Amino acid sequence: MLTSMTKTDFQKPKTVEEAVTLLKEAGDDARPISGGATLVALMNARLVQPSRLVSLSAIDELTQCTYQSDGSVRIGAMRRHRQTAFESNLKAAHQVVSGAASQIANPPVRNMGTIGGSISFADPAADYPPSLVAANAEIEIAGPEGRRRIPAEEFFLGWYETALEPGEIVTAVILPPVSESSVGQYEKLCRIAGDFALASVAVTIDFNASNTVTSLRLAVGGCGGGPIRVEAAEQALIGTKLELDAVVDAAELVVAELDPIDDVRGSAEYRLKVVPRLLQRAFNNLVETREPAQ
Amino acid sequence: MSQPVTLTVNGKTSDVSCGATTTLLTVLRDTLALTGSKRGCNQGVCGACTVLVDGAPMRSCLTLAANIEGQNITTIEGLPEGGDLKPIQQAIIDSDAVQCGFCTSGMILTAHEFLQRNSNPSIDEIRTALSGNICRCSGYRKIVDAVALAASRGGA
Amino acid sequence: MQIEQSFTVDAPRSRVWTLIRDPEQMIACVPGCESIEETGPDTYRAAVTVSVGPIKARFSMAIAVIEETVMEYVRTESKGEEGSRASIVQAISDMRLTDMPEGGTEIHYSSTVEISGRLGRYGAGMMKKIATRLAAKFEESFRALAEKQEEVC
Ligand SMILES: Cc1cc2nc3c(=O)[nH]c(=O)nc-3n(C[C@H](O)[C@H](O)[C@H](O)COP(=O)(O)OP(=O)(O)OC[C@H]3O[C@@H](n4cnc5c(N)ncnc54)[C@H](O)[C@@H]3O)c2cc1C
Ligand code: FES
Ligand code: FES
Repeated sequence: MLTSMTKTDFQKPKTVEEAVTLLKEAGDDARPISGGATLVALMNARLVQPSRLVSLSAIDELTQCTYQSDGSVRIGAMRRHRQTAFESNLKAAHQVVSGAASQIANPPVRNMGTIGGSISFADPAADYPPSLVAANAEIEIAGPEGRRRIPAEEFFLGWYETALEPGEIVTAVILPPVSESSVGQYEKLCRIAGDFALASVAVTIDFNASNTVTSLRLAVGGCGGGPIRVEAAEQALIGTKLELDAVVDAAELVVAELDPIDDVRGSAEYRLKVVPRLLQRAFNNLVETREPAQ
Repeated sequence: MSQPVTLTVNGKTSDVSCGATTTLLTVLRDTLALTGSKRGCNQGVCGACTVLVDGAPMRSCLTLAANIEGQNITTIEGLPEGGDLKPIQQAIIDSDAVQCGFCTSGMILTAHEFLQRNSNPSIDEIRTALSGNICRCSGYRKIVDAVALAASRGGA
Repeated sequence: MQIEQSFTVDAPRSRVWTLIRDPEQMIACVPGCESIEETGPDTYRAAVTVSVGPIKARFSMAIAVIEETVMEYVRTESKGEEGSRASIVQAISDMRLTDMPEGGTEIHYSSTVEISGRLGRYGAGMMKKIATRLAAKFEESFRALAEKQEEVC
């Protein structure tokens, strides 16, 4: 039998406040559990043995995705990857997030994993982090002191570290309002279907009536401890019409900021070579999705 | 620490006693003697343990038994209705899509749910739907053929 | 795995030396260090926790000073394991102190570390990044400590 011999207790609270209290009570070795797709795998491998598991599955608030009156979208932490992939509230530039969700793992894992669990684990090669940085999302966090919100960029500290303090949980991801003319694109390269990214690129762009880029955000995944945003490249592309020369020059600025490692998925050198291709692919696909709309 | 958990598997409710970290796969195989769900990797990668939870394919090796009380679990043993095989099961037999059979129950449950959503899939769509299920024997071809056959017969 | 790092602190070499040879002071600087006790002349036992995401490994480390030139150089050998021997870590570390021309001290640190067992699953590339992050935290707390004491005196 593979049942564990350790004494873990299991709780399934109905509110965020209860969950936070249950985690605080049990101290350092208590863990929230969302989809379990990562945490149970780690427990099965004997890498983690929590003293208490606090399931977030029965907290209604966390399972909702709502379109707010100001045009922002609030994605509850317990939303599964499959729900976000097909989320009808996500339009225009927000599709960088649904695009990322649709490329995570494989269909059964997408039925399990949640956005809150994914960003809290913060795998350097995970798909949501770069998409949330490109979307300029905010992360809502609940803890013993109440709730706070921080920009996605400040949430991911690198190599599995996040801005979560002990006892805090992610409650939602908030995407800011976007204009109808904006677009978002997520491109991922992986060895085989369903694997983590070898490298990925997330972009959101807005254009004016004459197709000139008026705003742009860009982040790379799988090439460092967390998502890497390259503001110099963003600035270089604003005011252009994404001409090939401009994209090639911007890609150079991006590559200069990357910090990849060699691992089973590929060498650092290879990653530096594929990121410019992924960027080009992202821009090509963006332009294509935009054209029929015009 | 053992605790009582009430599970609904294949329409039948059972009370089992298990630890907080006990997975659904362990309960299915070791307590309920439903050994059609296989333990391949225990890491969510291979798909041999796939079951339907409220109709959606999920990994039973990554699902804690204590966390799915009140949800409907369907395993391969519960798929036939009144003893009749589902079209995908018959198609798997007719296409000779089983070699060792270790991946088969996961393949069938995943394909069954997929065919309910998409009754006229392309080969690419079938491959994508089954991309989370690994078969170490076949070249996948007969499995994909079987799903297409079930679809052409108009069933899931 | 090889880790190398140098940094300067605004404190005289004698002070830096006193601090690095004082286990009580080092507890606060070594990231994840919970305790250090002296087990004999130049040998110590330390409890150190390394966390990678939700995974936490608590190492019990035996540390021995195997070579030293007072005020200049110290070489230590460290061996540690988790309670259940789930991971094993071994390291040989050198620390060298030099006066800076404009005052202050340069600390040059190099270490050869081997990790096997469950933490080994992260691979050398990732472990090196994590080690570098820990080294940066050490540098930050050590500098704060060395420069603060300077003011007090
Ligand atoms: C076979 C396989 C392939 C995968 N491929 C990919 C991939 O290609 N791309 C990708 O991005 N991911 C991939 N994943 C990871 C997958 O997306 C996970 O579902 C996800 O990373 C974790 O989400 P979860 O809801 O299952 O979290 P859990 O496993 O429940 O939790 C993960 C960690 O986060 C903590 N946690 C959970 N929820 C919260 C919260 N709300 N607040 C604070 N802490 C929390 C837990 O304590 C735990 O430490 C893969 C997983 C598997 C098994
Ligand atoms: S045993 Fe569950 S996916 Fe392999
Ligand atoms: S038939 Fe043997 S694993 Fe698929």
